[in-house]
Amino acid sequence: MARKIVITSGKGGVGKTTICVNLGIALARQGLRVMLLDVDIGLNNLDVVSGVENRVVFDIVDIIEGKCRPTQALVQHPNFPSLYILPSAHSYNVGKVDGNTLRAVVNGLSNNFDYILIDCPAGIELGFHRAVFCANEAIIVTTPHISAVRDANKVASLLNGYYLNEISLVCNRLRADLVLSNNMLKAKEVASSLNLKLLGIIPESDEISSSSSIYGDGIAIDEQSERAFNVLANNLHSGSNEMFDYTQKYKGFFAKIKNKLKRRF
Amino acid sequence: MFKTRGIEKLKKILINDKHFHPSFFADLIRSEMFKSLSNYMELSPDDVLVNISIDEKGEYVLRLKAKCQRLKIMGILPKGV
Repeated sequence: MARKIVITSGKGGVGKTTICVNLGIALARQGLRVMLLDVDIGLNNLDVVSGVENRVVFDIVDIIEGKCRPTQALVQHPNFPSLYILPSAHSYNVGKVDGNTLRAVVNGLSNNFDYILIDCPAGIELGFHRAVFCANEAIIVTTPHISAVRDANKVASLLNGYYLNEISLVCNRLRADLVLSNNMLKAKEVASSLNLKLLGIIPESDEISSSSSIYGDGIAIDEQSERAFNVLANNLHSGSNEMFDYTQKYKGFFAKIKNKLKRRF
Repeated sequence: MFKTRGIEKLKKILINDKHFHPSFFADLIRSEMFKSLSNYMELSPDDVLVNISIDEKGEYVLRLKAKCQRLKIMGILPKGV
């Protein structure tokens, strides 16, 4: 039976889909069977961010309408064989897809996987509730900005009504230089403000940003991001509480001088 | 300096937003239900359970459970009085 985890945030653009894909890859690297489910019907991007958009034949709506079996709609990732993506439809009357039907599809596939990561749409409308209804755990993604933290707080309040097994927090796009100069909130400060368990820290990555701009996919290609996602996957899978030290390259005498010069010029 | 200001602002915003918490409403409804039901039943505050959950459409579902040792004897007025 898979752990069904919804990845949500409330606010858009904080990195839900990127974290969903990279966490899935980090889990798949450990040999775990992972399915990524896109519940953002109409505004789907999970297939693009995971780089499988050219392999999509069927989608979740085809399953619901009985045009294919659930296993036929699954897209196996070419580079990570134990990672599968269940894409969402490009355009569809979303009213036809209700929470109960979606949950039945997810439960039907649950025995084939160790993890089902559900990419939730932004906002707290019907799509959000549909996504949460399929899950038994939640990861709230936020950035250390007040507007994102506020939305994460509202989402956490709503999630309390679903009585999920666990609700944890991932703080994304942290910048070590700003955190060390006290110009950005630390992940621990964000987690304590929200009264949520901090599951992981993901630093800001220029490589992921440029990869999503140029190629469309948001797969972590730089060493720092890859390590951060591996630590996150370990915390999720083994229950450990290790935090990735993203400030390491900004510490030490020479690093301080280098950063001061960088800021001046 | 900047960060302290940020944390203070965040705290203020989150404190105001806490009023949307479903458990806050559950506690409020529970105390009012206890007050109302204790006119008719002999019960303790722990005998009243209020649960607010959300269904797949995002609608709130309120479940109320109350148990009591005995009902209070009510005087019934005759018709027309």
